[in-house]
Amino acid sequence: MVKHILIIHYFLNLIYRMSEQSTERIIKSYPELTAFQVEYEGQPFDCNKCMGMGKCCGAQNTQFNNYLACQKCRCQNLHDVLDNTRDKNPRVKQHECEDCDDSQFNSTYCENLGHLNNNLKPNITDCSNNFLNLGKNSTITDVELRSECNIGGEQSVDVVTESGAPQTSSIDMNFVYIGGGILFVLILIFLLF
Amino acid sequence: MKYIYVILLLLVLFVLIYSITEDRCNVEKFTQIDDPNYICDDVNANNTYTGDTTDKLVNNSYCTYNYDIICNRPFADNYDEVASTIPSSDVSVCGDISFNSTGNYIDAYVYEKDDNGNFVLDSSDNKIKVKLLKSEISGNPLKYFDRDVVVDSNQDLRYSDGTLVYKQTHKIDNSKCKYINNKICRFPMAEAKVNSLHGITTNEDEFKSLVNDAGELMPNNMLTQGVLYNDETKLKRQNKKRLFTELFFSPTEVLGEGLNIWDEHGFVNMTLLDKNDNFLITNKIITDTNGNELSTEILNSFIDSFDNIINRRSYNLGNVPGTYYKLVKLARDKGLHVALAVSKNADKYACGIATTKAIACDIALARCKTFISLEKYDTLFNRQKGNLISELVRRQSIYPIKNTAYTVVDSEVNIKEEDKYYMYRYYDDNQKQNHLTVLQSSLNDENLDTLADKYYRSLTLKEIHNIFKNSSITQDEINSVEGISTAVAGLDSVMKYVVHKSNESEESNKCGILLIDYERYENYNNDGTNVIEHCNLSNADGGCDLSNVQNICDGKENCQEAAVLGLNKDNKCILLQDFKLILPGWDKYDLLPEMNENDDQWVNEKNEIVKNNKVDLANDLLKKCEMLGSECVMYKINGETYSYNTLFS
Repeated sequence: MVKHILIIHYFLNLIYRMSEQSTERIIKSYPELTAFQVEYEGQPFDCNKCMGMGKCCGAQNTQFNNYLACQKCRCQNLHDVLDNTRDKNPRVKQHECEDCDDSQFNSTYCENLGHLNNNLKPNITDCSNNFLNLGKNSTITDVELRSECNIGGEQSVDVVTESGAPQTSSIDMNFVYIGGGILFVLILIFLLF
Repeated sequence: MKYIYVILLLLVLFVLIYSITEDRCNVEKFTQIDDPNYICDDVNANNTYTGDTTDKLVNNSYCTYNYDIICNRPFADNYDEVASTIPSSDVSVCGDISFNSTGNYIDAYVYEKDDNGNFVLDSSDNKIKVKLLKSEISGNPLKYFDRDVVVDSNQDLRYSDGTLVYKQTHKIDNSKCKYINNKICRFPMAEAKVNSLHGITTNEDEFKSLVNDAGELMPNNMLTQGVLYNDETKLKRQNKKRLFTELFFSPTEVLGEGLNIWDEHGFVNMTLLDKNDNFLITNKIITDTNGNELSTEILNSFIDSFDNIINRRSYNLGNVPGTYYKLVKLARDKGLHVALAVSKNADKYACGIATTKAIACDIALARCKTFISLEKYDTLFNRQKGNLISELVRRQSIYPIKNTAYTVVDSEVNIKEEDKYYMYRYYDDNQKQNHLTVLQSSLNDENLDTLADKYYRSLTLKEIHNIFKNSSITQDEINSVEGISTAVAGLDSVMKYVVHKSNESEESNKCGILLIDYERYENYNNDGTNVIEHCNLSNADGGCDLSNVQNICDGKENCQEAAVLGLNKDNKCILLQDFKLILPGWDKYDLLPEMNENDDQWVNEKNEIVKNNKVDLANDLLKKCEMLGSECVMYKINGETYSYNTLFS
């Protein structure tokens, strides 16, 4: 019986912790460029976003919102950077960029537009305020926090609840169903053996 | 000889009085140029309309007020500080009850209460004032709040005019009575037009290059690197591009400081904005050194530096706004207003959310002036970890009061036993000790940036205003905050340093209001007092012939016009008119995106260009007028007599 109570307690605790994590936290990280990234506006830009975006992997598609960033990808694919920001990955890896007029991307052009420098800034994330909006109605439940904020392992855990109802009421009901289902199965197994 | 001295003395007095009263008139007398189409129905105005109102529209932005009508928002340019909340007891207050509804009346009397703490009422249901007792004052002659007092035959205290002396908390001085009308508050206008891609580009050609054939905006391709621009320009362009993208272009991501939303009580994060309008609790769970799990509930409410409990409730907007205009939509649905303040270099910004436009502007401006970017925390609050933890423990040592359904209904710190309700649940001493342990431990685990962020964001508008009022900072404090000296200054010094830096950069990087709700904030000089004296506005004799004001645009599409009045060096009236077309002859203009709330489309470039075009035209014309003369005032914009109407409606 004690064992059963402990299991129930464990699962309730788990469910409780899986509810909305408070995110009042500032996380600072220092990004490094991979072989597929360049710096753009101080942050890493994934050159794979340029693939399939028209002429010369988007770099010569003036109708594309990221063509300047894609030009930087192209420049760092063709030339060495002027600073020491690509020591581990000297050139950006790009494959199968079609319809390229690489005479445009000579070293003078690339240098003049600042495409051969990477001025990476520390990535500072305010977890209470930084979201990737995935849902149609953009409520707290259908937006995703920046991934850095979701990394666990902290010594303290925050759980935000609304006080307008008993604390468990703000728990996502899906977790209750899943947890309850697992609990029910486990109790059945215990009772069986 | 004696007479000469007397005459000289009188002359000096005359000059002094003249100069004082002249200055007073310049500052306080304001005259709105009349418009026959609109009337003012505010009884406190000088030009309240009493005639036939048929064919007239009421618009109180056309009212003219004297100096009894004041703006009481602390960050407004025309802020007039009066005691509208209970001040310290040594401050005189307005005791005239006729100023109760829109003025700064404060009830300074003490009233009788019964044993349960309820007011005792007389037969007419009025509260009963407590008489002052003879034993409560002393001196010869007897005085109470600087008024002579005598004891009558019944041993009651009376003033010399025979009225009874009642106990007061403050001295009453009715010369301090003012009508507060915050609609007349004037805030600086923003110069950085981050509401539009057109507004942040250098010229029209650059803007056109950032619009594709389908009329879609391509802000990511705005150049902010390379040799074309110097470092200062590149930084400004980066800032503007970042703000435009963050606030007006990208609805799917909230990055960096996001919308940076504040209310009177501090920072408003997305959870506070989105959740049901109630108290929010953070359940802190820690593991102690023995492996035991301890937990406590930390409220969003806190104790400010004046030891007031600041209860914070969530806004229940039911949505996470990705752009400024979506925030406005959600706020307006709840009857709230939003203002956006931006600095000239676009490196500081803030949104204010409040029940009135004036308060929203006040908040936005205060928070823009004291903006600290996320990357600055560690340099500003360097060596402050201990101070931050102590202060946060003090601010967050506040406990929930719950009803039987475990709903938090209020918060308390040291509630007296006799004030507790039987049906409510309060923390006992053990729970309070546990709260302190968990709070202390969890704060110890936080990094400096997080602690600084929590502290900075919990400062109320009142606290910020207080820092501005007492912002004198010593060189030692500056050296400490800048890390030049080894001395560790207090948190007050850090905030004073932020304010000091803000004041220093006021000229070169001034914060101003860019938008209120959906509208561009407009605040042009329209005080016609001196112009009206010199320009005969009713006919052309001796002044400007205002019948000559031309309708320049005459219905032409995408055309806006303005007219400005001023005085030339001979004090003769001058009238300047100008117009500005919006991107003439550009075929993609009609393809530009417009906001569509029903379709969740929030990019509004086409309309923002129109708004900015009007403001640019008005500002340019005023500047031209000031080059030629003085006393320049905005007369008409797009055919309408200009009035300061931004905070009305």
